[in-house]
This record gives sequence, structure tokens and C-alpha cells, in this order.
Amino acid sequence: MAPKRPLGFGKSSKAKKSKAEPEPEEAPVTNELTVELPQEVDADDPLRQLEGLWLTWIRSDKDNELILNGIVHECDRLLRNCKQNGGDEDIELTPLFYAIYGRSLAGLAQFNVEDSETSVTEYFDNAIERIEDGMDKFPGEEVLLFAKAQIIMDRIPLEYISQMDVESTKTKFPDIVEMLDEATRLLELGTKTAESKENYTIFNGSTVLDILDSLDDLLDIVDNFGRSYEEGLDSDAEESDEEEILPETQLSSSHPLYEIRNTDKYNIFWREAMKESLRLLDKNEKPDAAIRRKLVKKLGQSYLMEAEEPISIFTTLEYDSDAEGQEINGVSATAAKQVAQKLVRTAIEYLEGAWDEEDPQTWVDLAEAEISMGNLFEVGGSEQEDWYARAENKLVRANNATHGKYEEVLENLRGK
Amino acid sequence: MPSSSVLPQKRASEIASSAGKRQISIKQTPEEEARAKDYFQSHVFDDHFKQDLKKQIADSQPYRWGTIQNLIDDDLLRNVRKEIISEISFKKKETDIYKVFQSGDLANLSGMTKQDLERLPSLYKLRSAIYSQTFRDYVSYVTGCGKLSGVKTDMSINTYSKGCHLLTHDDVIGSRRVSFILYMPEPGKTWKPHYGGSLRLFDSVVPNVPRSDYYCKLTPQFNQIAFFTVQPGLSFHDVEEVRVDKQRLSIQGWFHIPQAGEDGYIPGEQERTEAKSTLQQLESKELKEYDFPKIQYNELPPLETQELGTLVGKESDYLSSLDLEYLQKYMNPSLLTAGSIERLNNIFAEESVVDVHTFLSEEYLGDLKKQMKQLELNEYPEMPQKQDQVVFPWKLAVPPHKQRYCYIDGLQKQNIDNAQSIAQINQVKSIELPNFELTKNIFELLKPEVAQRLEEARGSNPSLTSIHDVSIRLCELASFFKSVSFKKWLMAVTGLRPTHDQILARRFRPGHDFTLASKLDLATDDRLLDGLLEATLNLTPSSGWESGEFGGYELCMGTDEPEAEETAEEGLNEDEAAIYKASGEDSVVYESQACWNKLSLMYRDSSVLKFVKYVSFNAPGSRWDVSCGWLCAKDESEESG
Repeated sequence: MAPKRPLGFGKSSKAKKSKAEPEPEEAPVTNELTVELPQEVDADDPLRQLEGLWLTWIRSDKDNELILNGIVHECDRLLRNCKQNGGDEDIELTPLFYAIYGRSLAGLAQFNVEDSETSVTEYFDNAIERIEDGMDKFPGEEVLLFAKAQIIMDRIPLEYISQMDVESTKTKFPDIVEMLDEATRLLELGTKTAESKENYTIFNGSTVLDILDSLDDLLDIVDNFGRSYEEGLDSDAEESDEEEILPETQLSSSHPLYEIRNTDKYNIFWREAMKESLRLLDKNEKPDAAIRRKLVKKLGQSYLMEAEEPISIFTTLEYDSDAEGQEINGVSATAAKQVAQKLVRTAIEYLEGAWDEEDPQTWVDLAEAEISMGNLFEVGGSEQEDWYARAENKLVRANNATHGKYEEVLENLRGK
Repeated sequence: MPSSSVLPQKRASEIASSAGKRQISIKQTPEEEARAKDYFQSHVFDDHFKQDLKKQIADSQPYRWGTIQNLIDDDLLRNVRKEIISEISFKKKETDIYKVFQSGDLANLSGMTKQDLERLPSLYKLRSAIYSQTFRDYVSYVTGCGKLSGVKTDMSINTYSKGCHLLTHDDVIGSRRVSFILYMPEPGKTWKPHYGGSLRLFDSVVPNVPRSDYYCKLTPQFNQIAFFTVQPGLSFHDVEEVRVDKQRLSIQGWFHIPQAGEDGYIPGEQERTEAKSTLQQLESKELKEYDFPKIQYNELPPLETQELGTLVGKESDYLSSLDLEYLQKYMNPSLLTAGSIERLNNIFAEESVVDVHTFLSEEYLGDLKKQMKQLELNEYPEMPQKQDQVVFPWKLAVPPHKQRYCYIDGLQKQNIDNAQSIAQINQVKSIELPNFELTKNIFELLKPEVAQRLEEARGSNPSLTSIHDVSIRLCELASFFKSVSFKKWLMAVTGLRPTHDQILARRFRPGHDFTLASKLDLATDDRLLDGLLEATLNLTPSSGWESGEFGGYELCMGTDEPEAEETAEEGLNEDEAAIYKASGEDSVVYESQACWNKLSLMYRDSSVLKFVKYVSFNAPGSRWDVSCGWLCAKDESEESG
């Protein structure tokens, strides 16, 4: 029989969406709800399938509740049917199973914030319960320690901070500080446990980085609590013709977030944990380049942020004629400059590690740090010119790669 | 996924008629009229200012337009902005021609109800100020456009956030006389040119054919109004994509010609204006000689046609060992087995479309993906941003109220810069047949000269790369699609016998390129099938396109009314905010995000619209593809099957 012929779009009685021809060699990329499992997954092993599904969720935009629901249902089923619980399936539940179970339940909370508050609480309570079940059966498993840390980090903003305003008091909320301390303790313990077992692989994925990102976000939320922004923050926020600098909202000492905002403890913890993660990641034979870049980029940025204050002291004392020869907070211009240079230098070292030949933004991140460094040297001096020239070189390249995205930054630099 | 919300623009005639039906009139009370002047800043009515403005408009280019800064009383407009932000919800609308957030619950301000008045008192004041006798007379005087209606009001609120845009159009619809946009980005802050969101005006090659590059642009500030007389075939403009995470809020609308009973009403004028607008649309449609590339399917050489003809009705053995040897150099070998071909044919016969992943073989591709990525990151000379920067054998698709992208068509160099040279192309010279082998040779010949310039430029960036090597590979692929062997494979998979073809290698640059939805425009030929067999080989090396956020996707949708003739590009109206009702959202029949190494095959008939969505400035790179179209013979199995 000769090949069949189509009727053509529009002519066929029902126009149908295209069906992707199964790819001859690799799995097709699809946006359909048929979830493709990563290739390494053994299709006959339900636990491995579950892990594959979980990996798919983790790698996705995490906006499809149906996938999470599917995972939770599969966990329910496996728990019911496993031999340990008197079922007839030959399944040996693992620590990872409980971690997935707990985290997918916690993940469902974000899709149910519109419902009654109890619903979110229930999801988180159930999630923690599953993790603790796992911990009872498998004590000292890093995967469960990390899972619980992650759930708590997610729970604090979603369930509690979202319900707070600047007038909120500790009496109406559970002890947030205690919760955060518990999460950081779990993260620390998990890291130590993994290292003692030489389980460096866990640092080669996003498990630990995700917890650290959540902590970073949480600290950001607390810092900015009570502020409102009319515009997005990603473009140039520096120029305001009316100088509407939004003041930090003061929180009373009875506010549930008061302690977290007024201590450096968690920021220091975050940075040390990031460094620790980086150290353990590097113990892998092939450290994941993308994870490594994320870690060092964030570390670099944290040093740049820390440098902001001494930079500001230095520039005020050096260039503001009213402040000449004085000190700010007991710090002289020279001292501030030295501190700032050291911090920016560290930032540059990290940002050099974040360099990605295919991502112009990483070139720009480094260039911006180099400009900051240049600003800390004598105006027009050779060192300053040298730092600016390095930055300009990178910005020209990035500007070319993005067809003009950094034109404004470049013009500013050249206008200096 | 953008599918559910992405629809091509509604046809102009429908919009005009529905606008007519739901026209709502207002009449200002004498008290409102008396207060109106106080809503403006006093400098506006200063005589010198007014005279200067009139002169500026008279001298303006590329057509008569004007702008006034600090138009409205500052407190009033700030209050309007606050009301809008707190009271009005916005909904994203995306079609082939725009992406914008439109006010969902107050589509057209002419339809404000009493309840609206209570929650939006400042907005109501603003509307009465804009349409007051005082301001209408003012606009009429400075533009010299004639009298304006006070009862037919037509305003809507839009906000353009990061990624939003509105492509080139001329605003000509119905009785519109003057278009205006009152800008309300965040007050007290300067809206900078690099934020995007500018109003850009386009000069025309001839009436109805805008130039590809804009003539001038206005970077809008809070409380600034821009306006122009709606001029059929001339008043082409667009809204540049907003590039940063900021809101460019605006109220935009039209002054219409006076209605019956109003001062300046001329019986029959509305009908004449509307007829003119319709005529303009028809003329615009006819002006195909200004479209480049030409849609031109060239007949295959007789021997080739004969060779393919011998295969009709055959069960198998389409491909000889020579064919296989040739095809294997390019294609994934697993697509050449009898089983694969049959599977593909089954899907295609059922669906009229099939996506073939991993189409080219890894051996053939080699490091092409890396090479293309490197090119995008280190392009020298830099990616063309203007028409004259597109260097032959690359060409620019025009005019921009229909399309803009770079392409290689394998044809000779053509000067499409002015009406005279275009007339020469159309009337004097012959367009020869495409030859991608020769075009490839041209790129090779151009390389040494570029290599020297590259060497000089590499001082600052050793990775600088010219487009030539990638272009050579694209020409190679175009030649492959023209090969007899590939056409045999195509016949086996589709059951259709190609008789005419057109192949283009295309590049859709971020911040520039798109095609608007268009139907097939094929001449009737009894020997040929009505539809078109098409293939798009996606060769976009960058990742991050899946969500559709950056555009660059190809989308097809069915239309239910085959008798409707107008295509989407004919005239845009911005007041779709007011009257566009997304209907038939399920009519998207095919959608394909920019990706790497996927061949989309489809057989499309004339009722199906197709477009490539505008590629965002912030996209991870260009969309690259090779686009093929084949007319096919009406062989016997058509009648029987």
C-alpha cells in the first residue's frame, strides 16, 4: 500500500494537537503531563520510579500541583503495599522514600494557601510526621535531616510570616527563632553526617543548595519585612528623582521576627554553611559545574554586600567635603578602604569561579565587582584605571553578546 | 504555555463593526466643561506654547505628531494612577502582534458606570478633561486635523511590563481622527530609554509600506501625552518592548470625527472615512510587491518531477542505496528505516503534522550547536540591528507591519531600500532561481576578508566569531532540503508529491523579529493540492524557551470562517482592550517552542493561520530555523483517499 495522505489542518473534521513522534534515540522533551523519567531510572522498580518522578519535579518549574499529587499518591500506595506494612509488593522502603514523602506533602502546601489556614498547617504537620517516621526507622540519615530542615525553612514564610504584619506579636505565633534554630541545627548535623559517611554526592546535587537558598530568601524576607515596593527590583533602583528611600520598618521587640532581624548570627551561619557545601562539593570526582557556579556566585555576592558599608564610609569621608578628615562609627577613610578592598577582593575571587563562558551575566557580575574595586583606589590613578579597564573589557563583550543590554552600564563606566 | 491565551489579532473589519455596535456616548455637563480647563496645567494654554507646538507638529517627521509634557494637573494624574493601581485589575493578553496587560474590568473608559464613578472619581475627571470642548479644540488647532467628537469617546488603560510590546501598525480603523497616549509610569522618576517601552514612529517606503527601521522614538515620561493624526497608510508606529522590570502604565485612545448633532458634523463624512479605511486595508493587502522575501514556490526541474512521479503509488523502495547513502550523511539513521517511515506516515496521515525530534544525525551536527552559541555570544560584526547592517547573502524580511527577520534565500542581491529599486526588482529584472550551493560559495569567498578584520578586532576579545561558518552550514542544510533524495523521504513520510518548493534559512533576532499570522496565499492550479506541505527545522542552540515567555514559538490556529478574507496584519487597533473578547481559544492546532534539532512537518490548508511570535529582547538568543514549503501534485490517491 502506498503511503497514507493527510487531509490537512482545518480540513480534518477535528483539528488535533500534534502528537510528538517518539524520539528515535532520546526521550522527547515534552510539556505534556506524561512525565518523562530520567534515563537512569529502572522502569520496573517502583521506588526508583518514585525517585525519578521526584527528580523530575525538582528539576521542573515546580508549578504543577498534579505532579506533586501524583508523587504523594504513589507514596501512599507504596507505604500501604510494602511488605514492611503487610502488603504484597516486594518493596523495601528507604530513607529517601520518607524524605520524598515529607517534602512532597510540604510542597502541596504552597498550592493550598488560598484554602483555610488549617490546610497549610495540616500539610506541614503531615510532612514533618512522615519525616519523623523515617527518622525513627532510619536514625542519623542525612537525607532525612536535610529534608526536615528544608520543610521548616519553607514552612516559616509560607505558614507564619505570610500571616504577620508589623504589629504582630510573639504570643500569636509559635517561636520562629526556635524553628529556625532547629532548621539550621539539622542542616549542620546533616552536613556533618554526610561528610562522616563520605557521602559527597549529596552536595553535587541541589539538595543542600536548595536549603541554603531557602534560608537566604527567608533572611531577605525578614530584612525587608514591612517594606513595600512599587516597582521591581531588578533594574536600576539607584536613580530616584524624588529620593524616596524606603526606610527600614522598625519592629518592636515583641515582634516574632525581631530577634532574627537584629542578629548577624544567621547570616554568618549561612555563609559558613555555603563554604562548607562548596568544600564538600569539591570532594566529588566531578563536581557539578552548575551547582558550583551557583555556590560561588552567591558567596561572591555576599562579600560584595558586606563591603557596601565600608565602601559607603570610605566614599563619604573621601569625597564628601563636609566629612573630610573625620570618622564614621569610629572608622577612618583609610581603615574603611582597607576593609572594603579585602572584602571586594574575596568577592572577585568567588565571582571568577562563577564565570560561565555561555552566560554573559556572570561576566557582568564580575565586571561590577571590579568596578567596585576600582572605586576604592585613587581617582584617575593607574590602579583604578586598571580595574576599570578589566571591567570594561568584560562589559563590552557582554554587551555584544546581549545586543546592547549593558549599554547603560558601559556608558556610565566610560563616563567616570 | 502560551497556547490558551495566544491568538492572532482579530480582523480589522470585525473590530470596526463591533466597535460601532457598542459605541457609548457621553455628553459633558456645562459644569464639567467649565471645570475641565482646571484639570490641565496652565502652561499648556499659554499662547506661545500653543503656537510653538503647532509649528513643531507642522514641521514634524515622519508624519504629523506632537507631544506635551506635564499636561494634566500633577495631583490629579497621580490620583488617577493610584486609583488605577488599587481599583483595576489587569489581565495579560498575548497575540501575534502584542503582549500587554489590559484592564480587565473596565475595558473601555467610555463605558464607565455609576459604580465606576464612585470608585474612580479622578479617572472620571481625567476623561472629562481629555474629551472637553477646550481640549478637543486645542488638539484640533495644533494638529490642524479638523473638528473632533465630544460624544464618541474611546479610551482604555494598558500596562506594559517586562516583555510587553506592540508591533508596527497604523491605527487606521473606522472614524478615528487622532490617536493619543497619556503616559503614567512611576511619577517622580525618569523613564530611561534603555527601559524600552518607547513610542516609535516609522516612515514609509510608499503609502501602506512602513520602513523596517523606526524613524524616531519618544521615551515616555509621567504626565506626557503623545498624539498624531491617524493617516491611512502613513501613521505607522509601535511600542518598543519593555526591557526591564518596570510598569509602563498608559491611557490611550482616540478622538473621532464629529457625530450627528455635534459641531463640525459633516453628513457622510464618517461613511467616507470608514470607506477610506477599508480601502486602505485592501490596498495594503494588494501591495505584495513590497514584501520580501516573496512567497514564490519554484517549479522543480522536469527531470526531478519525473523521477518523483515514478514513485507515486509504490509500496516501498522509495529510497535507493544512493539515496540512503546521501541521507545518512545528514539525517538520524533511525529515521530511514522502513518501520520509522511507516510510523511517521501513520501519524502524519492522521494528524497532518508530526514533530521529528533528533532529526539531524549527531555526526552531521558535530559541534554546530556550540559553534552557534559561540557566534551568538561573540558575534563580529555585532548582530545586525538595522536594515543596512544585514549583509548579503543574508537579507531582511519586510515590511514590519507583516514581518521582520533575517534570512538566506539563495537568490541574488536585491536593493529593497526604496520604491524605485523595488520597482526595478518587480518590473524590470528577473528573479532567478535559488542556488544555495552558490550562496555557500559566496560565504566562503567572503571569509578571508572577514578573517582579517576579525584578527584586528580580536585584541579585545579573542573569541570573536563571524557568522560565515554558521551561514555555510545553513546553506548546506537548505541544499539538503532541495535534494531529490530528501524529497523522496518526504514523499514516503507524507504521501504527498512535491512539485514546487521554497526554502529559507531564517534567524529571528531578540528584540526585533517576528512574523504576523497569515493565511496561505496560493494561486489556484487544478494540478496542485490546495494546501501547502511545510517543514521547519528548528535549530535554536540556546535553551530556556520552553515557557514561551521569550516568544520565538511557531503557532498555527484554525479559523472557523473560511470565507473571511482579511489577514491579521491588516491594521491593528489598540482598543482591543475595549472590545477584544478572546473566542475560540481552543483553536490553536499546533504550537512549537524554539528548540534544537526538531523537524516539524505539516500539511496546512488555507484556513490555518501561522506565525512566529516576536522574540523578546531578553531571550536567551536568536531563534534559528530552516523553513521549507512545497506545493504538491494532485495525484490519484488524493481523489481516492
